[in-house]
Amino acid sequence: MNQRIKRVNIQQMMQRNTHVMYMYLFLLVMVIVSGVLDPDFLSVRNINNLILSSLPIFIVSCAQMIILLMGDIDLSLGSIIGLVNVVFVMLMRPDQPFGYVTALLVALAVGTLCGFVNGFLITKLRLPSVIVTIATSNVFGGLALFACPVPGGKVHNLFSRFVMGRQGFPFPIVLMVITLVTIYLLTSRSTFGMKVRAVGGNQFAAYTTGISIARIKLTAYCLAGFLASLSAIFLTSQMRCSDATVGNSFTVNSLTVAVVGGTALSGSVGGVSGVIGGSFIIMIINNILNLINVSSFYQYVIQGLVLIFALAISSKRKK
Amino acid sequence: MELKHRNMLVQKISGSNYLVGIVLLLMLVGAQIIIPGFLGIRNVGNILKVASFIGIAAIGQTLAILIGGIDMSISNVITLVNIVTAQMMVGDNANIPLTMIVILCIGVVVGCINAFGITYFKIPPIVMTIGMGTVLQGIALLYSKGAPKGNAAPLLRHLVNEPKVFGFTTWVVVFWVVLAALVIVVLRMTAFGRRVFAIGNNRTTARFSGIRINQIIFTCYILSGVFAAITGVILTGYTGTASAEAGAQYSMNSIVAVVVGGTAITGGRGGYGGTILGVIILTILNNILTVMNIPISGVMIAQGLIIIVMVYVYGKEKAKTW
Amino acid sequence: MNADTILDMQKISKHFGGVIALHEVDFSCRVNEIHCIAGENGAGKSTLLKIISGLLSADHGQMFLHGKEVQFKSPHEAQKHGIAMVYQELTLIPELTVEENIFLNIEPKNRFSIIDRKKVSAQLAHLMQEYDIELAPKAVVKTLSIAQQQMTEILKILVRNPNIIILDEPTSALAQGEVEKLFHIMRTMKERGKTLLFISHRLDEIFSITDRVTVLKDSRLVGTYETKDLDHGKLIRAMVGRSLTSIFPKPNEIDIERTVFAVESFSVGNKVKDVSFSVYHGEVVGIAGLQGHGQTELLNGIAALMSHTVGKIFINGEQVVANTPWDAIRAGIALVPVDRKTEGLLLELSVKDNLALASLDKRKNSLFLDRKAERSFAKEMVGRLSIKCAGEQVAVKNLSGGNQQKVVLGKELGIEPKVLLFNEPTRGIDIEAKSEFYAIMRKLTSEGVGIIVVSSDLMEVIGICDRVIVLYEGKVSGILAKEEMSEESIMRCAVGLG
Repeated sequence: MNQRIKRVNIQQMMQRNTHVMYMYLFLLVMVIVSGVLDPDFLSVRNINNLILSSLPIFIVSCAQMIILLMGDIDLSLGSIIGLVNVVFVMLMRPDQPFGYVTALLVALAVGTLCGFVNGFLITKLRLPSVIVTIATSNVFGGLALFACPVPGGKVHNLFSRFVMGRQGFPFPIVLMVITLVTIYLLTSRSTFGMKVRAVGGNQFAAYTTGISIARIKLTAYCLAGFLASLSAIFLTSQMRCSDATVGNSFTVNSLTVAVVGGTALSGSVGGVSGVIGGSFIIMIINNILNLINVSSFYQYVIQGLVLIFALAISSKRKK
Repeated sequence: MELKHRNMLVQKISGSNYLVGIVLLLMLVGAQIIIPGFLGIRNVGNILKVASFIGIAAIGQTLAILIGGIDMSISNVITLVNIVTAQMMVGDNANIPLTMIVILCIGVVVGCINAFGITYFKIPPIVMTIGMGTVLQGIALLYSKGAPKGNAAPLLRHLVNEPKVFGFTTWVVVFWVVLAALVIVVLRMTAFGRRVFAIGNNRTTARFSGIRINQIIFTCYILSGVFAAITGVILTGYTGTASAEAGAQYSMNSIVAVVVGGTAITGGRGGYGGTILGVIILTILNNILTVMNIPISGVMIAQGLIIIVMVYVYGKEKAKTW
Repeated sequence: MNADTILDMQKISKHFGGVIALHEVDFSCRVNEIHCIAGENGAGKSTLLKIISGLLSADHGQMFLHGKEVQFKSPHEAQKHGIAMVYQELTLIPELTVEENIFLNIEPKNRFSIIDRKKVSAQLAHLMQEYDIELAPKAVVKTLSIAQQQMTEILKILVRNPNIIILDEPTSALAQGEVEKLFHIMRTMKERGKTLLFISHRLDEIFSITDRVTVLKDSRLVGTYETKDLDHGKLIRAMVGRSLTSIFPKPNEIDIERTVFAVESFSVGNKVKDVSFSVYHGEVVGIAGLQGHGQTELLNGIAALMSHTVGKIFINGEQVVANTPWDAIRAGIALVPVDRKTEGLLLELSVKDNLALASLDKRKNSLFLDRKAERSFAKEMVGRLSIKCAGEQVAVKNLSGGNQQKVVLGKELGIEPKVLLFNEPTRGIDIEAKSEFYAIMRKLTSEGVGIIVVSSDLMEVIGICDRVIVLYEGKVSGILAKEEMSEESIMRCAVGLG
C-alpha cells in the first residue's frame, strides 16, 4: 500500500512538471537548430552574450511570475524599468570614484516604491490589478519622460564594467544564479510562496486559513518593483545611458516569458525553473532572427504570436 | 423613505453622469478663464474635430469594456491603418474605394482574431489584445519597412479638416454625431444592447438565459476593430501623412474616455452617452495642457491619475444605468 | 451551566438584509461529544455554525468558550481559540499538493522561512497513521476525488489541533463506504477528547453517530435532545413541525398515453452515462442521488449547456436537436439553475430586466424592444408568481431568496417552456415560498408542461415527485414509482445497491 502512495507521489510530481519538461525539450531543439545554423552559436562568447541579453528579461519576468501566481497581472513593469533607468542615470556621478552608490540605492528605492504604489491601490482601494497597473504604467512612464525627454547621460564607467563582468569578476552569472536561487526558495520553498499561491488559487481558502491577503499582495508588488529596478540597473549598465522608453517592450515580454515558462494567468501555477527557460527561448528566437538576417521588425510579430500561441496551447492542455 | 425616493430621482435624472456633467462644466469655465476665446466658434469646432477621432475609437472600447473585456490593440490598428492608408492612397482620390475596402478588412480581421482568442482559447482580453497589438506593430513596421511614406487623398483631407458644415464643423464630426446616436439607440433600445449589458453583468447567467455569448463578443470586438480602423483613416486625413507612432495614445485615450464617462471597468454598467462626455473632457484637458505648454509626459501622468480616481469614485457608487 | 460544557451560546440573532437567519437561538455543546444540528433547508444551521467558526458575526447574543465570553472577528481568530470548520465550499488550493494545503500558513520552517519538508512529511505521516487515513501527500488536490479532498480538509483541520471541529454536511457527497470511513475518523476524534458539531440531512446517520441533536426550525431553536431519547418520528416532527402532506399539493391525473418529454441513451462526457427516461403528461419526475453523481450534468446537458453530449431528446414525440442553450430555449427547454445568484440572475439589474432576459425576442417592435410589452409582461409575472417587491424597477439583489428564485422561474416561464428543469428549486428559501413553488409546479404540469426536479432533499423528492429516477455514478440505478418511494429505498439506489 505504501508503495502505491509513493508511485502516486512520483506520478504527480512528473505531471506537475510536464509543461516545464516540454519547454526544455523545445529549448534543446532550438539550441541544436541554432548550433547547426551557426557553428559560432555554442561558442563561449555567444553564450556569454546570450546570458547578458537574457538577464534583464529574466529578472523582470520573475517579478511578473510572482504577480501572476497571485492571479493578478502587472502591466507597469516596463514603465518602472524606464523610470528607474532615468533616475539611476540622473543621480549618477560618473566622475567620482563611488559616484554610483547613492544612485544605486535611490534607484532600488524608487522601483520598490512604484511597486508599493501598485500594491497600495490594489489592496486599499480594492481596484482590479489590470486597470491600476495600466494607469500607473502611464504615470511612471510619464514621470520618466518628464525627467528625461531625450535619451542621454552617462554611466559610471567602473560600475558599468563591473556589472557587465568585465572587471575579472563574472557578475552577470553570479547575479543570475543568486536571483534564480532566491526566487526559487521564495516562491517554491518558503511560506511566502505558499501564501502567494494560496491567494492566487482560492481567496476564500486563504482567508479562512488566516492569510492576510492584503499584506501578501502588498509585499509581492513591492518585491516585483524591486526586481524591476534590479533589471533596470543591469540594463542601464549595458546601455550606458538613460532612455525613458527603454522598458516599454518589457511588459509584454515578461508576460510572454512567464507564460512560455508555464506560469498560468489564472494563478497558483508556475515557477522560476520555467521562467529561466522561457527567457532563454525568447532570447534565442531573437538571436536566430538575427542570424538568418531577417528584419528586426519580425521580432514584434513573433513575440506577439509566441504569447498568443503559448496561451492557446496551455488552454487546450487544460481541457 | 423620502430620502430614498429623492436619491432614486437623482439617479433617474442623471444616472451616474451628473458628476461628469459638473466636471465638464467646471472645465469649460476654467478653460474660458485660462484661454481667452476658448469658447469661440472656431475653437469649439476645432475641439469637436479632435474629439471625433477619440470618440469614434472609443465606440469600440465602450463595447469591449461593457461586455467585461478591454481592447488594447486599438492603438496598433490605428497606426497600421494610418500607414496602409497613406501608402495606398498616395494622394489620389481614385484610390479611396479600394483603400476603404482593405482598411475595413483589417478592422474585421483583427476583431475576429481577438474575439477568437478570447472565446475559444479563453485568453484574458487584456493579454490577447496586447499580444495582438504587438503583432500588428510588427506588421506595420514590416509593411512600411520602418519608413512610412505616402499621403492622404485630397477628398479625405477635405472631409476631415474643412469646417464646411454649419460654418464651423467638419463632415467627420457629423459622421461621429450620427454614429453616436446610432450606438446609443442600439445599446439602449435593442435586444443586442440588452444582451451586451447582460454579458457584462454576469456571463454565466447570460449563457444560462440562452444568450449567444460568443456571437455578441465577436460582434463587439469586430466593431472595435472596425471603428479603430475608421479612426486610422480619419487620422491620416488629419495629418495628411503616415507615422509609425500615429495611434500610440489611442488605447489609453479611449480607456480614459470610457472610464471617465462612467462605464464600469468590470463591465455591465454605463453606456456610450457617458463616453461622449468623457471624450470631450479628455479633449479639452489635452487642449488646456497643450496651450499651457505642458509636455506629453504631463498628459500621460494626468491620464493615469484620472483613471485611478475615476475607477475608485465609480466603484464606490453602484448606480445602474442601461 | 454544566461542568463539561465547552461552548455556550445565548440568544444569538443574525439577519441578512431583511431576512432573519437566526432568532435568539441558545446553543451549547460539551467536551467529548458528537453533536448534530438538524433542520430543513434554510432553518439557519449553516449560519449558526459559521458564527461559531468566526466566518460570520452575530448581530446580537453572547458566546462563551470555557466560560469566558468571546467574539471572533475572523475564522483565523476562532482557530486560535481551538475552533475549526470544514466548510461546504472548498477551502483547498486546487493547484497545490495535499501536504502543501494541509500545512498552509502553519508550515514548520527554519530561520529563513524556508519550509522544513522533512518535518512536514513526518508530522503528516504521524497524523495519517493516528487517524488511519491514506492519501498521497504529493498529489495535487485538483486531481483527487471529492472524498479524498474532504479527507485533506479534515487533515488540514486536525493538524491545527482544535478542540471543537465543525463539519458542514460532510456526508452529502460521500458513498456508503466513504461515510463509514468518515464516521470512523469522527469517532477517533471524539476518543481524543474533541467536540464535533456537524450537519446532516440523513436521519440514519444522525442516529448512528451522534450523542445529542439540536433542532432548528424557521431560524428558531426547537430544542436540544439526547439522541437516545429520540426516534425517527420524534425527530421529523421536531424538524418539520407539521404534517408533511400539507405543503405538497395533490398529484395530478397522469396520462401515460401522452409523453411530454423523453431522453434516449443520453450521455454527458463521463459524468452521465446512457440515461433514458420519459415524462408523461401531468407528471413531476424527480432525479435523486448523492451529490456529484451526474444530476446537475444531466439537467445542464439537456439544456445544451454542456459540451460532449450524446443522445436523443424528444418533446411531445418530436426529436429536438439542440447544440446551444439558445437552441434548447427555442425548442422549449427551460432550466432553473442550481445557483440563482451566479447562474440565474443579474443581481444588479431590476426585476423587470431580469424577467425579460431569456425572451427578449418575443417582445419586439421590428428592430427595437417594446418597452410597454416588457413592463406589462413583468407586471403579469409579478402577479402570477406573487413576487413580493417594491415595484418591477427594484434591483433583484434587494429581494429575499424565495422571491429571487421566483424571478428566475418567471424569466424561464417567459419563453413559454414545454419542459421545465429545476435544479435544487427550494434551496435556502423559506417554507411559505416553498409551498408556493410546489403549487406552481403542479399547476404547470396540469397545463401540459413536463417538469423534472433535481433535489438533494429527500423529503422534497418524496413529497412532490410522481416518479423518481436515481442516479449512481452517472447511470440510472433505479426508477421508483410514488408508492415505492421512501428515504431508505432512494438511498439504497443512490449508493448503487438498487
